[in-house]
Amino acid sequence: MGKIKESSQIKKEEEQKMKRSMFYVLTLVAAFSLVFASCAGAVTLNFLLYADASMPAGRVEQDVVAAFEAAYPDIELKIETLYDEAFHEKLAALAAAGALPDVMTLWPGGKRSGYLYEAGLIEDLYPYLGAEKANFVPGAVASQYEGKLMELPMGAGCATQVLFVNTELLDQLGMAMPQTFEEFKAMAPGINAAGLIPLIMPNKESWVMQCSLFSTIVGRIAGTEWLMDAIAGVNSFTDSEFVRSLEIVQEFYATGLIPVSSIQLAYGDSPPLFTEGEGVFMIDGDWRVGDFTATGGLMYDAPEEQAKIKLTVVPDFADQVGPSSSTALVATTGLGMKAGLSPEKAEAAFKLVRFYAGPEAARIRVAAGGGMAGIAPSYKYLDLSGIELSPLTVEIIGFYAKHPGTPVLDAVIVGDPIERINNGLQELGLGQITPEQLAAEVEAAFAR
Amino acid sequence: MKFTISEKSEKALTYTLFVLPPLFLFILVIGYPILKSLYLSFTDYNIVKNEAVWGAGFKWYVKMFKHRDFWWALRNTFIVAGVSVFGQIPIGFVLAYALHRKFVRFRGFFQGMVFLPVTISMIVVGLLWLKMFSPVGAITSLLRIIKDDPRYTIGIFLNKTWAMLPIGFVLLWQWTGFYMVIFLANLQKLDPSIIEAAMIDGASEAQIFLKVILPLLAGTIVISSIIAMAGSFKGFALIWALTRGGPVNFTEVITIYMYRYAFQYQKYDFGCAISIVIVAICILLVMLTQFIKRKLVGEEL
Repeated sequence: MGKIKESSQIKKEEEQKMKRSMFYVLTLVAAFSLVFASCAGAVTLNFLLYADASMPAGRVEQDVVAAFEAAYPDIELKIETLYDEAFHEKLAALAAAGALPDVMTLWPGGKRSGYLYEAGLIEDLYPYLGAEKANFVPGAVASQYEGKLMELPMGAGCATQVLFVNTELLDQLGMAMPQTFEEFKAMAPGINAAGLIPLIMPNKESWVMQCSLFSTIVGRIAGTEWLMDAIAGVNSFTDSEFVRSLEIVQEFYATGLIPVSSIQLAYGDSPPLFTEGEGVFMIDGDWRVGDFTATGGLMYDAPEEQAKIKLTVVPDFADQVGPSSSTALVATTGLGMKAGLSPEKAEAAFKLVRFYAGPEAARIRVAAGGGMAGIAPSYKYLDLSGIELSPLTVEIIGFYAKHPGTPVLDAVIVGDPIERINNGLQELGLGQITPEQLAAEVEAAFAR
Repeated sequence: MKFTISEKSEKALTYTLFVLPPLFLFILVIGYPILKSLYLSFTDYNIVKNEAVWGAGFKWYVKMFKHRDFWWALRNTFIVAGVSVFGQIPIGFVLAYALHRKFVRFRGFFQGMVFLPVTISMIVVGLLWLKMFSPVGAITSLLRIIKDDPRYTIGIFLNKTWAMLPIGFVLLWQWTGFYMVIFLANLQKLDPSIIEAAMIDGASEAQIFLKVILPLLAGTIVISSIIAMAGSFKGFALIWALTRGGPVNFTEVITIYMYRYAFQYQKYDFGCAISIVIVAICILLVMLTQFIKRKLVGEEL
């Protein structure tokens, strides 16, 4: 009896074992199929976006990305949004670690992104762009590095020097728009006496003075040809043209046009000062306009206030050889993709790159009053019907036609020399160095 | 057959098993990187291409010692170390003594308030004081009212010689509480009968402080000094958040100098050389502190 029981017991145990292993196998199969089901069709991209998420213009860029996600639900984006030095440092660290994101905001070259291009880490976009190249403004899709397109700019061009003028304050002070630099300097004592700042500039970050004012000065005093020759070593930065440009920066500080305390003013603290009427003029890049006009911006819901602001450039200098009323122009930023992505990822990545510079994104930016790269889009054929443009947006759109451009220094000079220029301009303002000394150090930094 | 080992080798085995994991971690996280940095400091290193070309010799060290920015950064770092050792520790000690000897009421409140800044992240503290001191900040606005000058800004930040002063203030504000708590704990360990005996013998407060308390806590002071110095040389986050080492390089400390060259200018080979120099200086300072301790206090620790 016991033996029969034993054998039926063994059978039961065996059956249970079978059931258990079936259960495990089925669970495994179910798990795997779930994994593969979610994999099929869904591509995940790591995306490092450059935007100031705390400011309206930055939020417009986030809206553009959200529109992309809505349009392409099968592409999943892992987005990180950073701004200013934090972005550059993170990207540099990721590059050094060999962990570049799949898609990221890039600069057309120069100090900011040049090192990535030299290391061959970024994919050439021309093969992906193909015939669509004709839909973009030629200047935007011109080659950026060794005949390749490294990033698809979202704008037609970026003016780094825009002079914001509070015409209401000018009228109150009984002053007129200065036509020459001498007139501009002469206004400083009167404005200071009235307890206002003549020219607001956030010079705590050393690149601001170089990018937003000095580049224009060099472009006008020395001219583009001289600059490119000096970089190539045909001329020297100790030439009188460059020294004179540095002297003019000194004059801006010395006459009180730009207070020395501006070197303590953090980037981003200047627009509120300007809108609160603490200063008559402000210099910043065209990208700043978006923070006034975009939804939630400083003057978003106050078109009458916007109408009181005029956008122009600093007046001409007496001894300039470069173009009159010029600003400094550079290609805008845009998205680029990591080299060596798998075909599906590369296809998805380029969809994002193209969308970011394409008509839908441009429409979102124009309708919002401006994104991170100013207002003029790089895509030629836009449907702007039904968009009401705010007064300041209209101002900045008309800006580009009135002001020719010279190069921005940090787009054409990289490495030690541009660092010396950036820091040296701060030292100049603090009276720690003379123009001649700084010019000599800049030339030495080229280590020719 | 049972496997037996002698008591001696059992002890040795236990010792090894306990020491091996942390030793392994130490080598992995501290030892190997330092040795690798030493190696890279003698090469030309392109980190993005991951190519290290041997043969740079001492060129990075020569460049560093010839560079005026390096000496200025070193000067600033010693200022930070000085504020820590000769500012935070004495003030922390005095505060701890005042609390321990019950010179004030509401001791719990004061203890909590003095220690509170220690718990705040250094980046947050840096940003907090950046905003307070900035031309559009709270302290500037207050000073404008007091000085009746609507355009006043705190100019000391722009003064090359004195720009480290506000940073010293913020360092004191944040870290004094840390040392206060350490000293308070050590004071509470002391036998109260010693102080009572001294008071019975007619010693004044000053004499109790100098002749009784200070010698007993000398060891703690030395250890705190070592911690303070090591922390100063590592210090980066607070000053970075506050000034980025700026304007120009006025408030740059050695770690920011290294960061600038390694991470901003992509010169990792030069950065490695700087880091080796930092390690060397730290070792020298710790040896110096131990020497002073032996001379003053003996080997009680």
